[in-house]
Amino acid sequence: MSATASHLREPLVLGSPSLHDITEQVLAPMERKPSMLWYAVTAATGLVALSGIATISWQLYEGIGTWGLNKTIGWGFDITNFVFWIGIGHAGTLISAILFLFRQKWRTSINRSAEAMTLFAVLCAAMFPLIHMGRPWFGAVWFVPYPNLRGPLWTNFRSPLVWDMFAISTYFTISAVFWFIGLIPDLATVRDRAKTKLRRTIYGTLSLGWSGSNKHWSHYETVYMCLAGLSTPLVLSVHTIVSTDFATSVIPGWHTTIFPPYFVAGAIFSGFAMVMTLLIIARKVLQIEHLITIKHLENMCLIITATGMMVGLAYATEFLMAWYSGSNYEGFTFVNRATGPMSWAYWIMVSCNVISPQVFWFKKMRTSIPVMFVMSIVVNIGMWFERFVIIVTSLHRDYLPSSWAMYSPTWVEYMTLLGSFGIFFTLFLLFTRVLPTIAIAEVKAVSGWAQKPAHGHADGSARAEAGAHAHAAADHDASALAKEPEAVHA
Amino acid sequence: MSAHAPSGPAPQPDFHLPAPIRNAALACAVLGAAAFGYGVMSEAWRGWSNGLISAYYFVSIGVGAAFVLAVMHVTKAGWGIVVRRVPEALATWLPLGLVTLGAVTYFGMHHLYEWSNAETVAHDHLLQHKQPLLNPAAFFGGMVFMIGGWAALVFAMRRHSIAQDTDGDEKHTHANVRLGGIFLVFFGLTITFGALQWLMSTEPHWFSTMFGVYQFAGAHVAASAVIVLFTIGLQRGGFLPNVNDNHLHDLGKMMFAFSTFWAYIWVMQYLLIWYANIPEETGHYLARWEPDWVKLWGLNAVLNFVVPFFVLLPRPNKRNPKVLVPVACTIVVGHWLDIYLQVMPATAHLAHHGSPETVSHGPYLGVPELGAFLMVGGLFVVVVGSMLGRASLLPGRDPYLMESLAHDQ
Repeated sequence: MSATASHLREPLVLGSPSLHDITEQVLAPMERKPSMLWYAVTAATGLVALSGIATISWQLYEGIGTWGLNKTIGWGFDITNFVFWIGIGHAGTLISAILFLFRQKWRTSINRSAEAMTLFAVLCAAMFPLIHMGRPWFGAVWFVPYPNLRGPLWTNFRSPLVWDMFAISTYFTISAVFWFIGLIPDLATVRDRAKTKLRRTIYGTLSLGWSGSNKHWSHYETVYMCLAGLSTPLVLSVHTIVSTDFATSVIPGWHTTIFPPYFVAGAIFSGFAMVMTLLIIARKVLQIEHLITIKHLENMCLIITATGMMVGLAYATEFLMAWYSGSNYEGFTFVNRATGPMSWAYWIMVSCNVISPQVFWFKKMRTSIPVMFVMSIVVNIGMWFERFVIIVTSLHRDYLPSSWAMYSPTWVEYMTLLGSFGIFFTLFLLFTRVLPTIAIAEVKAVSGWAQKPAHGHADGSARAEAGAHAHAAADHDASALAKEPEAVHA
Repeated sequence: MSAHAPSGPAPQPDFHLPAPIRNAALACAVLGAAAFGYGVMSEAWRGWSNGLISAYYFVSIGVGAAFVLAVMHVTKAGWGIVVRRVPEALATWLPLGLVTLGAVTYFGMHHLYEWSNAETVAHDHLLQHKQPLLNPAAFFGGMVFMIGGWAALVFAMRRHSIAQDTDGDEKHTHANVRLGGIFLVFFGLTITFGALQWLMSTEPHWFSTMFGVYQFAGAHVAASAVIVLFTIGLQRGGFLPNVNDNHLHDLGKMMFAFSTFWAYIWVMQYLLIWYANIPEETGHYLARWEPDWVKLWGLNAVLNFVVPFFVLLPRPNKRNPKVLVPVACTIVVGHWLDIYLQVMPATAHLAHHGSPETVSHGPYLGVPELGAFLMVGGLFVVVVGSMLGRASLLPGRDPYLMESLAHDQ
């Protein structure tokens, strides 16, 4: 493929580093001592994480009466944060699975960190329903009979909350396996370069005896392909099931059939924004700007624009149908969203999610790092508010005006939200220290060096030559054999 | 599976719609028109319902192909250059699609849409409420704007594509990226309204926010199937010498993926309405669960999902024309059934003066159904066939052509 790539395609790796250079550049951050900057940032996020954990401990001790919920608004920050973090967790598997199936080679330099981010985000998300149970030591096993005095009390398997538990645990498991499988060749590279016995043992164990032989690659690619196929429906299923938590109810503003695809689009939207926030910083700090190029970021901007418009279309469709249905309750809910006491949240959502991403129609904007960075944060503010709007404004003025209420979150809820960000960023910072942040073997396959035809074989078998080159360049680095996982199976 | 890059495309033969096919298609159209006329004469509501089903069916194929085309441009897809002229030609059906859909809905309006009857509206509070959207002026004005807009963008993309064959200028590629983007935005907004006015309003009390997405999913998978059929037909005739198993494989994957997407939307719309069990929404499904209709309702999922999913799962099947053609035919029939099940139970209730709660008779399968389909389908084949002959079947100077020729998976 590569030898015939159109001249319109921009290179995915800039500055034509050799294959060995790529190994060096990607592994440098984890092979040198952490910088002061890393210590300082990690200490800061770690402190936030710890204060979040302390707050969580407090509410477990005292009970969730410490929150601002009331009898009308039974879900507030807790479920908003849950859906927000689950949404963030969508980009990783979309990049690793769906973009893999679509043969989008630009995914190779961002998939590793996006998948890591996915796992951390899902962990943050899982925390919230657990806390919300009040007594998670019972709740954590809610798929077995709940202990009580009147005999076995089974969970309701028709409840979307139970489906959610299965959907998310499946997603987490498959994403983790997928991530690990993709790591194996790179872990072997780290093992081969290890200078201490401890490092060699740890990475040697993790790399499962990888030797870079043809047979290993062949098995690897088959497994990778199968996992990509299995993960693809999971990307859709998780947020679909999250959407049914709301849409199976009869609450106006929650019960609407467009919720499943609309939630999935929104999740991809926010997930990509978070990947962008992290990678804009990481590529600069880790000095890998030639591997994660403006082109990569531009592609992410385009996906953000597309999914942002899908979300906008869903907002508009909901409004249209609320009017079209002729149902007073539907109509009231939506008018109340846009003009009621919480309309500020609604308009933050619309301006962040629908209006502001339109700047990416202009090439200048989607190739400007400051614009992208600001936009990636704006989008995630908007997506947090989207969940807040759906959950709180639909609940706060329900069928009975006598039970209308307002919601004011307490410091416990704010601190828990902040703490979840602390946990997330701390885990990501640790990740950049202990694992290769970029899929080395995959990036080598799309680098200009690997695709250069050999002398005298100008239009010959490009892929075989690329493999030979890689082999020669990395002869003491067997695992770095540049293969092209995408191109072998389908 | 050679890894060698080809030095250039195989010579592209000229294509003209063969006279026997053209005559057969015209004969189908004429016979179909006669059967359609007979249907309208003998049982007006049934005749017009079939007119709507068939006219909408081919509009959805046209706009589905336009969607595939726009996505190919916007995503700068390299693989599909050698098959691109097929969706380009299929989408040119849209102007005639507007004429056929406009004609059947204009002349059959009172048999199709309860809201078009002033007397009914006078006694129905909800229909009065919906009048800003459900009235003839908004209906036909919207139709001209929407399908007209789709067609204008399709012809603009096609013009750039064909102009590039002569001048080889890359500006056409860039222009089509922009046009494709505009099409996708416009399509997203309009399909919601189109699906609502043309199909959903046959049951004017029912509503579902998912409905536009549902019609999009159906149009996309059916258009993929028709692209497969035309591509394999042309390839068999020797007119697409540059298309090989790898391109068929991608088309097969597209059918597979979007048949699954259709099933996802189909099942979620149903699941949410079943679960909430709100009377305003369940009427739609109750009407299709009457004993007369329920078997077809189940068959719909078999044809559009179960068969394509399981047959296309193994890799070799996606590369084998002998498998792809029957699966594509299954989807082509399944998509017709999908629309039939939207329209027919609704208009049957209307014809029998029932509200959606009363029992209707059915299903109706016979001469009027076949006739209306052949009438529009015959014209569709003639138009698309001649449009295929208007330009080379190979965009020979596309800057991504070499990627498509070397496509290998």
